[in-house]
Amino acid sequence: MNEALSIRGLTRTFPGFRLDGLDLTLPKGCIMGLVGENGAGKSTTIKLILGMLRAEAGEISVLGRTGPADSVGKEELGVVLDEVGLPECLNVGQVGKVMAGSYKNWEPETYRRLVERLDIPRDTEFGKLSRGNKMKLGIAVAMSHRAKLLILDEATSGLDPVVRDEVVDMIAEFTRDEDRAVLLSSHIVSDLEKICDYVAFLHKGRLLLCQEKDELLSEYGILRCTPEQADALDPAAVLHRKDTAWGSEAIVRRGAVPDSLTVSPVTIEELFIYMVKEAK
Amino acid sequence: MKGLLLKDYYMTVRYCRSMLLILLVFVGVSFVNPDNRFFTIYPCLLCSMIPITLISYDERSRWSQYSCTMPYTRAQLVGSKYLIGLLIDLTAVCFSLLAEVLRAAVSGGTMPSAGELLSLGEIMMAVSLAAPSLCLPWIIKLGVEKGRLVFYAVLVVIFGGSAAAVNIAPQGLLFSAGSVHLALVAMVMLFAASWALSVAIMNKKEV
Repeated sequence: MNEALSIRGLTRTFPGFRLDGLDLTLPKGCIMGLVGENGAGKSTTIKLILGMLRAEAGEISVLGRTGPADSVGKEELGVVLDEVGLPECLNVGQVGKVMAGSYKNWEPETYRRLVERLDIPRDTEFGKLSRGNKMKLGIAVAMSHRAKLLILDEATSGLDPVVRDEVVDMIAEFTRDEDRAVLLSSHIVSDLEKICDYVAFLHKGRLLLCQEKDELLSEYGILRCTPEQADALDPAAVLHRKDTAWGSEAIVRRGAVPDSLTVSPVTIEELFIYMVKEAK
Repeated sequence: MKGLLLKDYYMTVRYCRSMLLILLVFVGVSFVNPDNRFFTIYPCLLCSMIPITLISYDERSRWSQYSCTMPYTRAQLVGSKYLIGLLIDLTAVCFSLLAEVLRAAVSGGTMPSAGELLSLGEIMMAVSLAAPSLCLPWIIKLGVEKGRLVFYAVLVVIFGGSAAAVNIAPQGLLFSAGSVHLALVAMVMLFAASWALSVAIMNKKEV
């Protein structure tokens, strides 16, 4: 069993939205970034994995167990939801005691160290913490009970750039143990670009792409050329094209572009934006 | 479930301090008005609503969702609310009975017998079990905002029912030892049925 998470044909319909036949595979030791605009289906996917919502069709396997995570499987999951969800009147110490009574593998020393590293105020009630500190406390809890799969829903949003960088480093450190994996949803694509091994693009409930990040970046590039040069390209090589007064700009498959043309590297964010525009 | 109970304990201490004050005021008033049992029983009814207050704070902080990501079954999530309610009810009843004994001792009146205290305790417990038994399944199904309407309806039913029972029942029957035992047994059964129903509702619920 080399997969931390496997999803096949996951489907769920709500009024005005349908998550349509989602397929994802997250190998152990890897970080997958789930990218999508608001309402793309990221949180729905996470809730289906956690059994908070029921799927109409499809299969889920979490850490080798078939079906959405159950109470036993959740011992091995560290979850941070976009609103965190810890009780507002509890301080850091009380949260630690509640979690010690909840998780069999709770590690008070790891929790203390993470709280210190993330500089979270110890005596302030959770409800009075800033959004950034709330998120940090959620992350500290998720990483303090020997979880094998971290599921983070927009966990880096609301953090200032310095703390975000620290959290991104912590997430990357987490997967040094090859038995662990991370599913990280965000619309801040730059964070995902830094740490993810796999990237999945979701748009309006459909999976546009799920691929290894490095493969993706080496497969695609940006071509800036004249409109005539762009016209001469094989249409299958062009993912998206934009003509301006200064020339043409296209996201292209590097392998299908003549060597005479210079293709610049593309960022995940550019690729995502172009793919979403193309899908509209 | 230890973590859930501890969390509810912290929340009860933080949010329900005013209940303790109300309890003390009512006990104080009962010293002045020893014939009216309302001042002894009403605080028990108030305390029995604490689990609903806790669920309301859980919803506000999104704990209701977060707890579903933790290693608990849905039955445990529901059970913790019934259990914390039961512990609070028992504490409130013991406190009220102690106040009853103190009142007799301070006023120099006749000390209540063990049987009288038992009957009074049974009435208090029956009243304490009634409200959460009737409210919790609705609140778990509909959420606190909509469930609150049920809460008010339940209060009307309890007070209306109690008043009607006092007026209709033959003298001596209502507070006879047999009818009090029966009332408590009925309420315990209602509580158990409500618990099972809430678990069934929670198992089907999407969060």
